[in-house]
Amino acid sequence: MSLLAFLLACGAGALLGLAARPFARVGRLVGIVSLLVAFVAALLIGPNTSVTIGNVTLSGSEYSGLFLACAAASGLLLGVVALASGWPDEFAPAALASFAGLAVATTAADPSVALAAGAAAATAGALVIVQAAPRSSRADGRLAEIRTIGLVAAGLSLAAIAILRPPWTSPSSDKVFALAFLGLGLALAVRSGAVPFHVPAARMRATAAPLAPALLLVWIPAGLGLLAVSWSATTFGTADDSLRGAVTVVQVVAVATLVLGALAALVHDEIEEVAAYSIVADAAFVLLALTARTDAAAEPARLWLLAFVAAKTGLLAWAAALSRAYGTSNVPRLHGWLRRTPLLGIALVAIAIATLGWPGSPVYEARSNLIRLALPGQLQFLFVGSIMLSVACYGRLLVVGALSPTEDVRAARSELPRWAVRPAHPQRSLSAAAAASAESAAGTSDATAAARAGDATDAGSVPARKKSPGSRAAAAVAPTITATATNATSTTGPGAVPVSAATAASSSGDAAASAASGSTPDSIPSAEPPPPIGARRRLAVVWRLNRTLEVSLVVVAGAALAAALAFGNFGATRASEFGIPLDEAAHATPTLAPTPTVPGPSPTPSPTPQPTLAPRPSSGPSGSLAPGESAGPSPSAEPIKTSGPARGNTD
Amino acid sequence: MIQLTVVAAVVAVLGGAVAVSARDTRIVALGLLLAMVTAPLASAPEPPSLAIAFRFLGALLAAYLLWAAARVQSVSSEGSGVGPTAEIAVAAAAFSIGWFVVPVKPLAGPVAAQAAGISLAALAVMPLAGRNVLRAGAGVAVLVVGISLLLEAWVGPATPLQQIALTALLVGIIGATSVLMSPLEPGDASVETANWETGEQDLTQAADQPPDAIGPRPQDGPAPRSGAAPRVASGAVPRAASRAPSRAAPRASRPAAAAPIEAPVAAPVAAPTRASASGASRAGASTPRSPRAIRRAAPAGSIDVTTSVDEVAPGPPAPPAAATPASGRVRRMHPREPQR
Repeated sequence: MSLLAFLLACGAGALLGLAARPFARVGRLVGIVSLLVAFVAALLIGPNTSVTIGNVTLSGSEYSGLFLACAAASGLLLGVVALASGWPDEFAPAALASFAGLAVATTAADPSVALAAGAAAATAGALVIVQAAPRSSRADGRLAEIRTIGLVAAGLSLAAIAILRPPWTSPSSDKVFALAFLGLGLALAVRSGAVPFHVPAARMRATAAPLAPALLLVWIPAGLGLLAVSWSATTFGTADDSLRGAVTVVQVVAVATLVLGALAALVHDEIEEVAAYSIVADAAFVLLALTARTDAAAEPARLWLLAFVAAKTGLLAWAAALSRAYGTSNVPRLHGWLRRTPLLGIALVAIAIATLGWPGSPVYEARSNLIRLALPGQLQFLFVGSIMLSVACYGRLLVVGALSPTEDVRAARSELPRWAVRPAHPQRSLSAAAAASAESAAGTSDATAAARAGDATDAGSVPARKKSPGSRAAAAVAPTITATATNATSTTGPGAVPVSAATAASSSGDAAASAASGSTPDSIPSAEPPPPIGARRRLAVVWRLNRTLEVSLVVVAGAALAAALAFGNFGATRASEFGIPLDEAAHATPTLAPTPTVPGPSPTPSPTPQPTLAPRPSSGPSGSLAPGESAGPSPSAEPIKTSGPARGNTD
Repeated sequence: MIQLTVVAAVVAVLGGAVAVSARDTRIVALGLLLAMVTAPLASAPEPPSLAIAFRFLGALLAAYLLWAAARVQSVSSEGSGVGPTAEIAVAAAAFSIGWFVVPVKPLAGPVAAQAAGISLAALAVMPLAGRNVLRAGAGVAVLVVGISLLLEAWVGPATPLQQIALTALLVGIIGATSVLMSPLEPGDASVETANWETGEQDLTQAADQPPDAIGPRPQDGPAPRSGAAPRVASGAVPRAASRAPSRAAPRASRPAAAAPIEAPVAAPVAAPTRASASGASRAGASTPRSPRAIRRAAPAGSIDVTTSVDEVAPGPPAPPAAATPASGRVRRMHPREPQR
């Protein structure tokens, strides 16, 4: 029932969100509520959850529920951050549509259904490319996206053919498996922006909607990686030359991505690009899990996918919050950000810990195991190298934040709460300010009027929580008041200069309001002292006005949850042991014995073995390479549903 | 006796060929609709009627998405790179190969499905290598239909949930295509190259810009030969021309200050502002006419659209007699970058 609720919430939320795009508030509300409902429903998905459609059962599992909950929570986190940093209308519908597809993919035991649903989930990413209309064909994200969608669909479909194992007439079907593995690996690599295909990911800042990398580079690749890992140890576990060549190609791509992606994250100067390359570099571990082709890599891969989704979403939320706070995403212009927004610094440290861990922690061991199982011994140093590069990348951001603040950073509002003196009713104050402006226009202005105008304009400079006609009226009045206050200060002498500074800054927005030193209302010299305000009222006013603090707290909470998940909490370690129903179906699918060299008129598959359930103990990278290994008795349980090669084959 | 599966397979291949070779987006949508509707009928045994109905509804939805997007944005495909005849020949050859080759034995489905699947997969290769989003999207859809046919031929009939997932995938692909394609696409590289070489401009884009965005720039390319009238890129005009003439009728009564040319029918090409482009451009006729037809219909020497483009630059209004000499110069109109 909870699985059905998740699917309904995602599907209805996506459709309603798309339909409500002309109505911004409704669209936001639908997106947030749908993500929340999906998150709650995903939390209830467990091993006993099932939905039967047709004659195929969608069965939940502990891991699929946790994965979907993690994805929905990530979407919710980014949605909340986007409410402050800029809401892309297509983001929530696209995320919900892809979550629905991933839900079917991670709960279906039929590989063709799972892979088709995974490919369908990947098509939702086109919605967040809609913002881009580049005039230059070189930066055409639309063409790259449609090609990526095509490659993912083709790769997964080819993999479905190989996995379903039709009775080939050729004595050796190695090339089919090699082609399917290559298609699967390349689809995963292209979708996750691996290094030869990294250009669209790097240009996503210009060609896609804000926060789109979370969907295109994190959630969808993670879901596809989950599907790919399910079959790497069984279908592609054979040792033949063609398949080995395909594995080598994917290994090269993974290693290049691991190293060059981290290097690119280290040298780029735009926060979004740094985040994108950091994601790309860490996505290489999914490719490594695919190339490991052993059951021993399944558990660390699943745990890593959970940490990857949570931590990288947190990184994107951190980048959005930082860009929102300072109005720029350029690293050299962000010197000193850590001094003004220390909570974001804490969040970045938590994200780094969630991504890298430390020796002995689950996420650290997962990364270590993936490299150990996937790469030969000569390349094991890459693990240390990747850790060092990632530490350098995060350390650079922190060091930059600790430097002397730039003008942009000084001008922005910090996270520190201030006891602002605010009028109780901005509208009333605006009318007072209008009266003051009338006085000053008549040449009767005085410092009191200027101070009133300063207060009023400062209140008007507060970013509107919602675009109401009143806020528009305030915005329309603000320039007049500013000019009036400036006139007034010109007549009252240098003692009132901060007033003009404050009002001039206030007309340019929230960030500029605090830019001028002493621009806080406390420093405004006023003939009339502000009326005393109670502590509760002060707290409420400060909380309402300091949006930077709100966003930072949300990001910190998300980063903390990501760290907790990466360290195996919330049942992540236990859930990673069992995987998804597709894993069980994969191990229940009969594996072909080595084809005899004597060609026969109608080669038949080996006798159907007894199914075995994941996880299976494996001795090493080659533990599952022996075909037919799963033919041993497995008295533990029977598979949920298998759709082996005999599906529809009545002969 | 001709079996239904064979007919369905052939129709699916024809639909795919039409989809990847047509220029008009509506025909592309029609071809995709044909391919998607007939593909499930090519399997044996036939899928349940509910599954067929679902596939049919999904195909209708996908075709509508593409058609609606093309109607709004007036997008045209650049068509086949090798021509429809060559595409059909490729499809026929691949169909023949798929009919006689036996990669899987015994086949779980009809051989016609295998032949159609291989044929559709072969048809999809060339669009995927191109740079046109619409063609690439059509190619992806055709490829997925082909692979689904191969699955049904090699593995067996699809389960109902697989039919649903496949339908969702096809709707997603075509929906993504309809979202990703835009009016910047017509002709893509070919049109851009032609404009660069000849100095022609997409006047529809320019007409959407405010007047201050239109004007000469020092880095403009070489002027075209004298007397060369600017052509309008194919596929770009219909957006302006397809609007209802009734909306333009009141504007048509304005004096021709923005387009100081003698014949009112020349205004469509010359007017640089939104008002004049969308309103006065359709002043003379209730039905839109192509620029070439306008030039042919006008008496010799009475229309000089090149002059008209120059004359609309901001400045003191020139006397009507000043419009007679042909300057032979066309200002390149640079569309403003989209604001984010």
